[in-house]
Amino acid sequence: MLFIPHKHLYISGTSYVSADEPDYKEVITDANSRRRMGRLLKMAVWCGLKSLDGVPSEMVAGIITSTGAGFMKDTISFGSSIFDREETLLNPSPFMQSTFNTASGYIALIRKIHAYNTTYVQQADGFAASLVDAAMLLDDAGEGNVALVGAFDEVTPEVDAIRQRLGLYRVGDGFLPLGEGAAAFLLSAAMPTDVSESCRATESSTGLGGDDGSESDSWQSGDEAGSESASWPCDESGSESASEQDGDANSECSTGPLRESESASWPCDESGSESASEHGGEFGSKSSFCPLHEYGGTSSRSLNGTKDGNAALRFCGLANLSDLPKCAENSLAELFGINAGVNVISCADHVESLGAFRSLLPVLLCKLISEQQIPDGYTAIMDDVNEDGVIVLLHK
Amino acid sequence: MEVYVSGLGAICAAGTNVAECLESMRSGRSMLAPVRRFQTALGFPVGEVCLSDDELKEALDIDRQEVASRTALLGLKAVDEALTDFVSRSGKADGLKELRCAFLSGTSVGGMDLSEVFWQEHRDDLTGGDAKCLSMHTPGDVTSMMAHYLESRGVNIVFSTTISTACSAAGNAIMLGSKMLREGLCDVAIVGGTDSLCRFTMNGFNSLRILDPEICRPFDESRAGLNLGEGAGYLVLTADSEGAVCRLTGWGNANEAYHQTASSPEGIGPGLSMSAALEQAGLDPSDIGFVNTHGTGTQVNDLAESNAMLRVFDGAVPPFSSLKAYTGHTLAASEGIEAVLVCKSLELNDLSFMGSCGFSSPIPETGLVPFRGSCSYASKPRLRNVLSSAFGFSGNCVSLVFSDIIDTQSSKAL
Amino acid sequence: MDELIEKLKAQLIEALNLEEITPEDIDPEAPLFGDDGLGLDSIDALEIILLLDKDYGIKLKNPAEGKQVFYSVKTMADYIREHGKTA
Repeated sequence: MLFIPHKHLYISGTSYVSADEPDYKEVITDANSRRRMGRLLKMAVWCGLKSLDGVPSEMVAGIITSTGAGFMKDTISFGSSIFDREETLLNPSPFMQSTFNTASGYIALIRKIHAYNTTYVQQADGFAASLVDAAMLLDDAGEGNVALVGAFDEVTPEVDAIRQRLGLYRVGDGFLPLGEGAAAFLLSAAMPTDVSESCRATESSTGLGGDDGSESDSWQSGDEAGSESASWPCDESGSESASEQDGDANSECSTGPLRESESASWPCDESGSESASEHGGEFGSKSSFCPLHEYGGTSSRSLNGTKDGNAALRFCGLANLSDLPKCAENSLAELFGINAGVNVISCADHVESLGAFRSLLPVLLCKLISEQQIPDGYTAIMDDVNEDGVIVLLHK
Repeated sequence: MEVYVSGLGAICAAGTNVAECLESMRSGRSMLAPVRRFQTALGFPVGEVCLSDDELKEALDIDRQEVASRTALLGLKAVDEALTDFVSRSGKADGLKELRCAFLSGTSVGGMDLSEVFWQEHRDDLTGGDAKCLSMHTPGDVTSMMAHYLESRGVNIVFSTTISTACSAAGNAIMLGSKMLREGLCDVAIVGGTDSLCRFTMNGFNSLRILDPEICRPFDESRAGLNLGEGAGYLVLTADSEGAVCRLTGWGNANEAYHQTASSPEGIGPGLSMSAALEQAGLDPSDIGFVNTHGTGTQVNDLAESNAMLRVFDGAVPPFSSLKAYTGHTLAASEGIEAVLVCKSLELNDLSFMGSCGFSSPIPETGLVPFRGSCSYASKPRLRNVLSSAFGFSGNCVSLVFSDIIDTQSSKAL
Repeated sequence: MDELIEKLKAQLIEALNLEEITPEDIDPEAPLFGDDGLGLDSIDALEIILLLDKDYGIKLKNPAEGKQVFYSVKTMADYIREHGKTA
């Protein structure tokens, strides 16, 4: 299926985990939640929370995740225990966490986000479903909102053994290395600008967060609108200057052990004191959402931490790999109906470093964006590792 | 753009097709009993479909030797009925070949019925056994197999995917289908869900201590938990009113964000999804003639859902019921199967098969009494709009509004 | 008795994945459940029942039954000495 979104949709706030795990404590601050979470769940939730860093919960129109096989470690652990323990006194935690939408749910739980929430489990193709769903969601939700899109998959020794028996990712006489990872990013219909300013301006007009003292404090950086030192992400201290953010654009979306973050406050509404009932009447009411660009000043810091507003990255469409042969000369430009050349990034070229897995494309996408490796113009990221792979078209 | 329900199919403990389900449920008798298909130490009553895997394969013309998860087989049985129903209602014999069809299916267990058999025997030596049993493990694998089956029988599937949000999955699939139709991404959306009983889920729910050793008693003071079930329910959604059963006029999805497996006592999440569905449908709470609840029979759900209804309907809760004592809690399939029954109730203006069973005294905190299927409903105003909800783990709440097709100028109650 | 209490503390930390807590942090007489104590909840209760069965041969049917038994590490130790098998 070929899908072209109606309006321009921007990608920002990318984060990913692959191979190296971050220090989860920094982002998943509640020890009680953390101790129950399996590794993949922590990876997926970490990414989701990192991407939502500084974004008010009211702005989130939806959380949509996808996975190929889900939480295999928990599934196998619970499944084994059924037989080992002869169906008595089983630990419920791995059962609960084997549910595919646990990551989506935890992100919503920690951030108290009551908006649309769903999970697609469709091999490598679930990511396509999430992009289509996110695009439709943003159509309905209006300009000032974001959708969080996430993906995750893990490998265990059992999974590796079984996939070899099934011939998955076979190449020649051997097999591609099996990988794992998680990724998340924000999709928005508005060009991302400095969120803190626009939220500050909106807060005064709609009373957003006015009931919760700690939340309204976090939106006031104390600086003038449009000032370079307006902090991103929203910082309770308000005094963090832009230059501290300058150094490494990857600081918002690193993969290695998370270095001590200068922006200590996470998240803006962590107090969670704003109860669900306060949202009850606002659900579906667009006036309570914080428009990203309505009051945007001249500062054009995009949500992924770079300061270059011109580097705004758009999601332009997706198609199934199987759609390609139908075009003359297998032309990507023809497939997407564009009159321009298309850079191609093939997932197959990254298998050596990332491994093959069903969520490879979204993890690679976020990695490349985080490392600023998406070329100017149109780029198609092609998941030619998975049989049911998709092609995602971007424009920078 | 109106979204029409143009075909229905279901299979569960109450019957192997829609007509059988209606007949069984009109009797007011629950068929739940301990599972027979596999060995387990857990003797809880469950809603088991009375057909074996081989019988299902035979009904679907699938070779007995072919590896197929029961989840896929139950699903295909219901989809087959829904598509046959669609062709007959719409008069479009070749419709499914020519129209662009999206197949959106919800499941929580996927092919676990096969995986756990393999796992029991071979987990210590993964080189043994038939690995093909694991090729249908994930929800996506099950949906792929179903999609291939449908394509091989001439259905033009342009898009298929699996929603897996635990007990609300079919509801989310139905919601996605209506959005895709409106977006013009397909002409027909085949939507619903399927799940089969297996030791994994039985033991999983038992480990949470929320299974009732007796037949469940939704909304009753003495309720002690849920009974699991299996089955599948699918709708065919189109933009064409020709021969349609009813309309899908509202949908809403909200996240409770309260706890991983439980609702808040106030039922915040359920209230949000119900309100969103009403808003989408452009209806006032007073326009709803009947509510099909999630009503699992657990202490937590039924109280939360009652409180949500009291709030959403401002105290004036319409007749409502839970069908779980007939079907069991069919997990991801629940909103699919129950949506089928809701659509029938609108088509026939008949609630005789929609009564709760097992109820004797109300929850003290709410005093709400569910509808128990009396025939006197026939004398009431025509059933115009029905609200149906399902709530899954991780706070996933989905609600749908179905409306009749008699007066498309206005869905308002007469 | 001290040895059993120390062993129980270590087992609790491991079984419940209490990553930032050391045995020294656990007061043997303090309540394990609720906000006053370690903050354990009903799911932890199920895991403790498992631990008591697996390692000490004590069979409790459900969390309600266990409420008195695992009120604190000390009450657990006392119960084990009385009813269970210690290694």
